[in-house]
Amino acid sequence: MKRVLLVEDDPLLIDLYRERFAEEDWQLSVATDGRQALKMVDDSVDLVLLDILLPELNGFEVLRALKHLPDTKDVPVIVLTNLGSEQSDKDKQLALSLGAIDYLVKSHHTPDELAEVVNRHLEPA
Amino acid sequence: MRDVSHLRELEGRKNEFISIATHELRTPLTAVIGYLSLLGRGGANLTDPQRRFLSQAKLATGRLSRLTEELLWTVQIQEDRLMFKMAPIELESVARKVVADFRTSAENHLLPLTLKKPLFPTTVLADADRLEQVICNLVDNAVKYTPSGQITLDWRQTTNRQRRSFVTLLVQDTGLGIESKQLPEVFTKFRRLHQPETIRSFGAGLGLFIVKSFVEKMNGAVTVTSHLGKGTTFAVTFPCHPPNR
Repeated sequence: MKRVLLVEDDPLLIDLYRERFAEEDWQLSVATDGRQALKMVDDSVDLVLLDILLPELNGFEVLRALKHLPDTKDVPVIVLTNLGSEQSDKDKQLALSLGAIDYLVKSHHTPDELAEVVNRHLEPA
Repeated sequence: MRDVSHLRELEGRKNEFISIATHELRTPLTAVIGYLSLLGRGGANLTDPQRRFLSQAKLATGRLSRLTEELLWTVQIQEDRLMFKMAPIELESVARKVVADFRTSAENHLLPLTLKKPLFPTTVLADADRLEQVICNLVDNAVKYTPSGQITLDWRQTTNRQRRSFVTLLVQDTGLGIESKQLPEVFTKFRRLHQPETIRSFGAGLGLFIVKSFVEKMNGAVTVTSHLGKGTTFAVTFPCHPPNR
């Protein structure tokens, strides 16, 4: 079973994503701040959905740290935020330059669409 | 000098406020859009009125979502945070897509929406997504301010003294028109013109500000001509690509 870590601090959105992702064949864990996220990621995690505005460490800091550690540098990270724009802006550029594989604005995607994106990234190449 | 820096500081604070506000608006909006979409999946089990309520709720969240995006773009434009992926693109294909997207909405208002065929190549250097947004806003505006009549997208080609060629997309409506003294203000942000008859009109007055900002960032120009009671034409002009066709 694929392991997906959702890093999200808003209870409203945690509930929404938990509800929908329960239909998927993944094992979903949730971290509610940046420091907890860093503790929970290891090489057994298949994908991280990472918010940017988080308590403790923000998403950019978490991403930078993950990509520097040998155990976690290859874990794919999708930034899932309500900051900035998907088209092309500086937040997106920064996330991609730090090693994120995708940058998604939460309010632009239904949970169905999000599950589809995650499944696409989880499929073996 | 102090006045200018004070104004700049105020503008910065206002932008910061809008940035935070849009982020905070997007989060509950994500939950509403998300749960509505989950509710909609049970389509077969819903009664007809429930389906109608769901569809109205989706329309309303769509409007809120659009307003939020426009506010965010306005700040991003002012702070130069938007980036443009410039690449050769056929203006006609973008216009065709927008017209297809708006056809139903225009027909619902009994407005024929026509895209004329250009007699010359329409390739320009632009960011495809932003270009689509520009044409979208112009067609949307035409639909809003045209109680009856028609909307036509037409083409012009011009060459300047340096023999540089330009392609112009015209978005023409036969709508309410704009008073000449109000014309200079149409591209000003948060400015909505006083027209009691604007029956289909809502929004924060950001659409045309975004059009002008995006077009100018992509090295183009936008102008407007209008006759009160007869209609309005917006002209978006870009240099042809490659330059010396």
